[in-house]
Amino acid sequence: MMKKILLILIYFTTTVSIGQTVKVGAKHFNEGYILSEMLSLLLESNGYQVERKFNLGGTLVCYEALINNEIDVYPEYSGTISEAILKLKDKITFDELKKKLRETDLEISNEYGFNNTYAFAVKKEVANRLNLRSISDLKSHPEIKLGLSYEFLNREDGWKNLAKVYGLPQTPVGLEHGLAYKALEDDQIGLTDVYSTDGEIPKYDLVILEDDRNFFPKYFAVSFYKSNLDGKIKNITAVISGKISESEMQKMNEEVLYENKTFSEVARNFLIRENLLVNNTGELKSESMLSQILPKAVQHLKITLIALVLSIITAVPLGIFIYIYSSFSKPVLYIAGLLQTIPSIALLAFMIPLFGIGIFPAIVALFLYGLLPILRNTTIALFSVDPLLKEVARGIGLTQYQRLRYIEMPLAIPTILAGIRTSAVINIGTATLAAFIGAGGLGEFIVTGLALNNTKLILMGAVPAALLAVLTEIFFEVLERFIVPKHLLKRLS
Amino acid sequence: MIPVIFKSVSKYYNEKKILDDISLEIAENKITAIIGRSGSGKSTMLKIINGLVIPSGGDIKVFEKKIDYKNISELRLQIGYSVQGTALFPHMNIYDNITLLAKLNKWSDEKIKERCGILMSLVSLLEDFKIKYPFQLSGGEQQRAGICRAMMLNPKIFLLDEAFGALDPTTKAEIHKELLKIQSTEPRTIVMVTHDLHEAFRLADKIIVVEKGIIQQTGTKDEIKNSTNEFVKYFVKAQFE
Repeated sequence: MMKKILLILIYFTTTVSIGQTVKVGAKHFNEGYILSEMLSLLLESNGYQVERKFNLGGTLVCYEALINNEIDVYPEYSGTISEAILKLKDKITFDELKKKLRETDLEISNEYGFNNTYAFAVKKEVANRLNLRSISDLKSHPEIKLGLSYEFLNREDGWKNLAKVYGLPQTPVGLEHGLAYKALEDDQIGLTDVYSTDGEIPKYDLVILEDDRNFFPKYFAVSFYKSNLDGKIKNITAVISGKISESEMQKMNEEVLYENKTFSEVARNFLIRENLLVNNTGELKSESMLSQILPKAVQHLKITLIALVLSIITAVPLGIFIYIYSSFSKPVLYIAGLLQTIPSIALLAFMIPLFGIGIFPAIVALFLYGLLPILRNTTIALFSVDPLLKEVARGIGLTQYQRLRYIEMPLAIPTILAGIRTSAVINIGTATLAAFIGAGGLGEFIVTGLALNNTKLILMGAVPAALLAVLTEIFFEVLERFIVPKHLLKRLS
Repeated sequence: MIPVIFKSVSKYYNEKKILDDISLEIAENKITAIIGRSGSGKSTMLKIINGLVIPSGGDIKVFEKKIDYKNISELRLQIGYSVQGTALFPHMNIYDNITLLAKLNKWSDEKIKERCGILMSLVSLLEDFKIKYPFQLSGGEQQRAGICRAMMLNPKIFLLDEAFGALDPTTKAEIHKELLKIQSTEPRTIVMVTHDLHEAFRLADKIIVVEKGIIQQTGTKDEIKNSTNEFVKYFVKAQFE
């Protein structure tokens, strides 16, 4: 009898843990991906389902996602938490940070082991020629061109304060971190901010300038989660604490960058080496390029299509409304035009505090983006139907509805269709950016490729996206032929 | 019954006077031509009858009732309307153009077909034109289709606004004959606006000459020909010399 109850209990508890899904986020660069993959593999080997939300962009997007329960855990750095998230002015130790977090509903694990601090890197040859050893030495070389990542330029512990502390005279330019090494190699910039565990440091023969005024806080990698996260999950992920040294991390980064290994391969190998995987049943999947692209392309089309349909069923009736009540036309078109002027990436970022991350906010953003071309074309098309035809339609006794239904709308359709076509093509392009807020799609390759400085990945996203845009154009051309009588098409062109 | 009565009707656009104190009666089942120069106000008079233009002052009665502008479509279905140019709907073929109103008013297919056939043969339009689009027709053919559309519901009044203005003289003469043929088959009240005195003389039982928004003279062909009114004399002379 006891045995039976025990069996049932075991059955019950295991099914519960198997059914549970953990959402793991990742910061948007190599190391972030490797560490997040480690957490995911650990959880999976313990029977959890893992939803990998790896394309979340920088610190604040990840943090927002954590706060809004879009993700349960992601690897973060102690220095980033104290300066960029808690906005603490003073430097604090790791233990003080843990204590400080206890006042909030957030929590961090013990450090993984390495300190990935910000550092300034220059080519060894340049350092020798100019006798650069420390950051202070930059003061006497105002001609050195600094190319700094956008995040570093805007952080509390970034450029502004560093320049103040060291009294540096340079004016830096901003650039994507993934592109900085190439720029260094080609001497387009003389110095960039790096992370001390970057795999590129040995590869590009760079030296790191000593932080002689001890400006940078420590950046210990930790798991970052809400304190109410299931204790079991905390324990499972805690096994990598103290296990990863700086050189090991550098090595892993280098493997991904220059040995053509995937970050999941590298993460898995490390866990196997350290004997941390409970059961190593899952085989590493190697997928063909097409089978990788196809689901993303489908996802891409899905997001675009839903947004487009929403745009159509909103903008066409709205267009008709402001055609009938034309005093509304100016303000409505003005607002729709205003939406269009917001840069797409900014509009997407704006969605995060409102709707979190994922497909929904992406669809909302694309929907708003798609409104104007359809709305404008609908109203313009209706307004510009030959006034003689409109008068005759009235004169022979058609009601307002009949005129709209049988005369004005059919004559407006080619122009409305052109608006829908514009919206569709714009949306396919803009949807690639939706990957920045975790909506998936072909943009995921592009975002990952940018983060990993991997041209092949970028092309895996960019080429199919361009292809989709072309196919959309062709689709609408065919559709036009079906819907619009030939002689009206001729009149249009 | 007097189908249309104007009583001291005037029309202003902003401060500009288009019609001034117009009073007239249109005779039932006769052809009345309103004639004058461009900008004389003749088209405005026509559009007042089917409610496209609402007068600024005076009274207008159609079918001995004041126009109810809220349900204007009902009145317009009893008034045929045909204008100059290609006012056929370009996205519909000729059959759909002619029969649109009948379909919307729930006529049976059979009745629609029959009526359309009668009208097309009255204006000498070939059967195969039904499936053609307006752009495939000549100006004269389009005008004939326009007449069929206006006549479809067998309206009691038929308004023609410079309907034949763009046609060559031969085609115009043919259509005039056809119109007179229709009028003898199914007589109705026709009001036509034209600037062509020959057309008015050929078709109209009664002619109204308008200049600067004022009726200069109303009369038969002979009365207009022998008018003593200075403007009418000038107008007749200008067209016949």
